[in-house]
Amino acid sequence: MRHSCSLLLLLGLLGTTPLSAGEQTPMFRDPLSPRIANYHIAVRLDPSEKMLSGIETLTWRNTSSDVVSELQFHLYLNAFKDERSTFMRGGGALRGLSLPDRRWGWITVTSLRTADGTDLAKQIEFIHPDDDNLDDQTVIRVPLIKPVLPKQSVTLTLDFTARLPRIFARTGYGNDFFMVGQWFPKIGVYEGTGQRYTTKGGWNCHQFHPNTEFFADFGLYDVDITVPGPFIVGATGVLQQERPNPDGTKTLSFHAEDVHDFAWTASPHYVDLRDTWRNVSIRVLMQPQRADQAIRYFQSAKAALEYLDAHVGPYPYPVLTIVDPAYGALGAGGMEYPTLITAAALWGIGSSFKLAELVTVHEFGHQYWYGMCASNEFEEAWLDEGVNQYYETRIMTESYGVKTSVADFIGLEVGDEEMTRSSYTGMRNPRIAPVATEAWKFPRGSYGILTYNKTAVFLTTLERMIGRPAMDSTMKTFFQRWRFKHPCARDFIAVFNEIVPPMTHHRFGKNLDWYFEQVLYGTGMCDYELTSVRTEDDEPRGRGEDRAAVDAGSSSNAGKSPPTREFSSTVTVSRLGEITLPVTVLVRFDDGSEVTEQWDGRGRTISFHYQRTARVVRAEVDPSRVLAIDIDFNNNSKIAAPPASPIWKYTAKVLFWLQNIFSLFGTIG
Amino acid sequence: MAFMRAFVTGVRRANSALRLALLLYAVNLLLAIPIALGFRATVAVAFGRSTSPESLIQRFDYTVVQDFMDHHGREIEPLFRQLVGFAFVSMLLSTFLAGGTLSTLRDQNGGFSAETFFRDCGKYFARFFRLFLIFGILLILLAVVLSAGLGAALTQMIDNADSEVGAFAAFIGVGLAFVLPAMLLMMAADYAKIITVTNDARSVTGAARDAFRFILKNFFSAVGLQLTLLVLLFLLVAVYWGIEGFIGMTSPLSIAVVFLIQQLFMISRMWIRVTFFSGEMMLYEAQKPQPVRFVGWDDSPLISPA
Repeated sequence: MRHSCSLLLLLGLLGTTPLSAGEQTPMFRDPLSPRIANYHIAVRLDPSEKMLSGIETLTWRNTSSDVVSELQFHLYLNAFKDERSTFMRGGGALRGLSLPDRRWGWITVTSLRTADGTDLAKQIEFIHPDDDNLDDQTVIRVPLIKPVLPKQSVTLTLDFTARLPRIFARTGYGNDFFMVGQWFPKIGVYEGTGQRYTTKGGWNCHQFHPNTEFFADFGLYDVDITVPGPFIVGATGVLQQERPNPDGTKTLSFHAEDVHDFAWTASPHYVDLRDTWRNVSIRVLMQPQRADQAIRYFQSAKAALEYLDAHVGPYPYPVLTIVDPAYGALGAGGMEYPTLITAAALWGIGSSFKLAELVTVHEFGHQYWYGMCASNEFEEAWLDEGVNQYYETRIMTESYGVKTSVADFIGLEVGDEEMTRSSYTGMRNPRIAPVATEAWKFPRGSYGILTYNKTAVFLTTLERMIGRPAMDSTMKTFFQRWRFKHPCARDFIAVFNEIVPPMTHHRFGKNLDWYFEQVLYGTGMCDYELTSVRTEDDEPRGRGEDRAAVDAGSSSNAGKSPPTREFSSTVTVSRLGEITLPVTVLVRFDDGSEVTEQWDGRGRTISFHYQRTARVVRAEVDPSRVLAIDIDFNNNSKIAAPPASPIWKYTAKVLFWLQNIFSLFGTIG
Repeated sequence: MAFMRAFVTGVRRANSALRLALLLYAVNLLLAIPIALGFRATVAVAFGRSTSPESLIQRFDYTVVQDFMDHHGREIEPLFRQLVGFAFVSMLLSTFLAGGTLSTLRDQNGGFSAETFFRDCGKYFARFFRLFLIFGILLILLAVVLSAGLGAALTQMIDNADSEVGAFAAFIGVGLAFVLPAMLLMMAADYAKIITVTNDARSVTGAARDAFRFILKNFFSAVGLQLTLLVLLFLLVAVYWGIEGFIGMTSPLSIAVVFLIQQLFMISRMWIRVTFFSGEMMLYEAQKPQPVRFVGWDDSPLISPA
């Protein structure tokens, strides 16, 4: 059966002429990455059975100094094989969606041959590097008869069959819409000694958990996709050719360079729209009922391209495809693949709610962190998700306004940066885990907020502390130095320690380890409070002297100014949280004067005393809201006479709504 | 058209009973004030002397509001429980006040006497409360039956829709399938009250039955009147939104002005409620079945001597 499938696939492709390497149009003159894992895949989609039949030729290069005697592969689709997989046991849901109607998916490697024709399929063994779940089949090891020596390569041909699940976790189908991600046997990453945290060379190939995403090596991808004729296909990379087949199908050949994944989509209903930004061809595949919203995808993608090009570095690929998922397959939305992203829009939801823009900006931003830096999303998810979330808030703020970048609807205004912050500051237990936690080890419900939001908030705080120029200089250096090289947290922090101290004249110490220790590796919270303002009347100055002078009847007292009142004021600031950060305190007096105090934030409280002829009318800790990570801004200030208008305004609104509610219930009565 | 005549006459009669609308408004306001003031006190204590509320004057400030809810949300939770309790009280009060409202509208001399009003509230309350229970149970039964019958169908329609347009249409369709019968039930409840007051009917089940019969017999007039009154209500809402959006609440003066406009809106809303009753009463009086006049022969024992 397996062999007949391979034969049929081969026969199906015999009527076509696959492109040879020489006929590909190269993307880059020189390789951008080490090109360790290079794939040539021919795959056929059976839409009625939701099946994929594929032949994969993988050339893997051993760039380490180790002798590698086995290979490890991800078989991600087996996460959806049954209820016993690690993914399904971990909750089996992603972003609130679960597998509908038990429409499982899976992948089977039917043969695995070396260049000399030896079939290693029988040597395949499922392994479980993260847990003891023997039922999980998302990682395999393949012992090699002939080990791969350092700097040598091995070529394998794998036949595989896969069934796509009903979409709920990024990949699968929804009626005749297909989003095909993590669909082929994907080799893991072999890390030699000294690479990232590795002290002894070995495979980094984690199981698929609900919280985890992906980690793979860069390479070349040449993929021939055969689908029924009416289907429109979008994929990673550049389309090389499209050829009709005698059986009514067609085969599309895509080529991608210096990417670490390949995803594709197919649907007969797409509206295919094109635009360009500089030399980047932007293709949007829209659902027909939302075709009028394509402009939102184009505009936000261009805004993101422009911003990241200016502030981080160039986007090197000539193409970007944006996929608008079908209704009933919205679980495919909001995901990134190299040069292809899935967005999200809904019919009838206009631009008052910037869902389409937000998702596009976010998913495109991943091209830099997930796509080019390619950190390990299993072990350090924040280094992609959180850094990207930080840039998402910057782009959305610049493009759509500080207070209106998420929503601007009948007076309801919400900004992306503040919503990102409030998701973290509103956590029931923000101390539940440090950000630097392996993705599958986060307590349930905390992964997203800590990885995305808390990271973005501490990066925003850092930017405000050190200044935008220092931040941009650091991030540009980090990106340029580490793209295509799988950086880790240590590399990220090292760049900050290199760039920031000289740029800030060592105002924050010789390095920023103290900062990252608290916000990245610690679980403390930050909360500064303007605790109290006390003012007492003092004796009028000079009263005793004047009285004495008056009593003495001295004529020298004539014309002297009357005694002035003095006030003793004390402003007390407290640190309620564990995180210690330098803060500014602004004190304003009733004569219009102001004093700015600096506090290193280390003690639990500090008091500032003033002896003046003016009273303190207002005091605020962190008046510029540098510390975005402060969980409560409302306790940062005190004013002598708080204005009553705001509270009466909302009281009037509440009263009005109550009256209407009671009137409505009265109608029922 | 009968419903337009009923509407016009209903408006006129409601205009002649403006003090009635003011009384209903006063009750509505007194019911809402305790919770509103409770809200004010809670928020004022929570914010203390913080400067954060200053940013709420000019516009909605998501950060201030969200930080407040995150750290003080529990303090306003009791207000929500009070709201539920007061909503139930408002239903009972509405049932109580309906008697006086309808009797004032029935008596065409245009005068309003608080004493007569409350006396008639008490007179009809027992019957109206029983009508409230009957129609409440019918409403719940409607919801249960439709949920059981249409719930699964709605889920399937949404799942099988080609796009969210189809899903939205299915949702609207099912929504209307509930809203339209519910509207008819509430109309019947009104007419049952009107029949009780107009005919001094003692049997509430009889009044309910007669109300359903009346609506069925005068379906287009009854529904036409109802829709006309609803259009009037929506127009009022649109006018209010336009005015409030134009003025804003960004200074103490504008807050006071908008507050007054809000209260004028509520008075108008009470007037519309009275107009609902008045229009329905006019339609009923115009269209109600007339008693058959018996004409007998001279020596019939049924004719009493003059």
